[in-house]
Amino acid sequence: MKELVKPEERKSLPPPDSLLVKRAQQEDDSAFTELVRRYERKVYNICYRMLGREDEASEALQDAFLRAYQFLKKFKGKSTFYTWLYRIATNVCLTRLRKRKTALTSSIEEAGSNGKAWKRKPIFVSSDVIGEIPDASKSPERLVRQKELREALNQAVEELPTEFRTVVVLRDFEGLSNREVSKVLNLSVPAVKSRLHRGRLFLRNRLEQYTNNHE
Amino acid sequence: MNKFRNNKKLKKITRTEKLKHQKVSTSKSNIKGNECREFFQIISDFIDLELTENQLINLRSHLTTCVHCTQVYREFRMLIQLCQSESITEPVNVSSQLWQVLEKRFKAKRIKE
Repeated sequence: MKELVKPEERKSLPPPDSLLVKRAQQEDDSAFTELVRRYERKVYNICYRMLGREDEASEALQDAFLRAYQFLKKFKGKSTFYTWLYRIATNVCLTRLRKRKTALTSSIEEAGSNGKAWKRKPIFVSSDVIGEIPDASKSPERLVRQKELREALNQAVEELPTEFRTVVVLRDFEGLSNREVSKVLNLSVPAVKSRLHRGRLFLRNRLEQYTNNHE
Repeated sequence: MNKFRNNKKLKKITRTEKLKHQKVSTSKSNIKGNECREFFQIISDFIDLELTENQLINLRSHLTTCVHCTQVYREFRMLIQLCQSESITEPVNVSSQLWQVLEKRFKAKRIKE
């Protein structure tokens, strides 16, 4: 059988995650460092999408990798390393969101009827139709409308109920498959599909004024 | 003899046509709203190509006749494309803070040993 990779080329290929994990489990910190380099950006994206704030995402990123370092020896390799890592990151974010909710509830109680802090940011209503998102659009008006749309999307994602947000972030923003998402979140694939659909519906309703034709 | 054979072929075609017609008439007897409702429930699967071939054919055929569902489909697709095109840049200070924390952790472990 013809080899797909020549022996000399094989040496220059980066080591697979599984090999790095094995080395890291044997106290090789440089192997763990390489794993962090590979997934740092992705994990940050997940944290930022889940939490919506740079400072919180930064802390969650640190927590996620510290936990991965701490519990690496318990990783048995039943899933891929990144599935396991994303699960840690997601759980770190969910814990922070729960704490945020509790803090919000107590400060609402303290503030009484003053709802100023919880006033939703007004979504700018554009009267133009925004159709497909063109990649190479350079007209200033279009760029402004696209910017508004992206801001509206970010706000809408922040308002997504947590159980839908996790799925939408992992699936639509980070490009994981339904199967991978189900492994990260420990859900069945039908449950992932259901939450994904409901999450998308929620976002669509929030962005309706950008996508409907105005007469 | 050939005439009979041709007739047999014709008969077969007619039977197939009949079956198709039955299926069409069955679906036509449904209120259009049911098709729209069905489409709405599985639109995500439709966009993600998670449906069977038959389902895909039926839904594509529905889209050719339903303006409302076509609009819904476009909105969903636009939304998903927007999510996929969104990129975040990890700030440099976030990355450097992460590495500082990790270095501290590695050092602490070495000291313990």
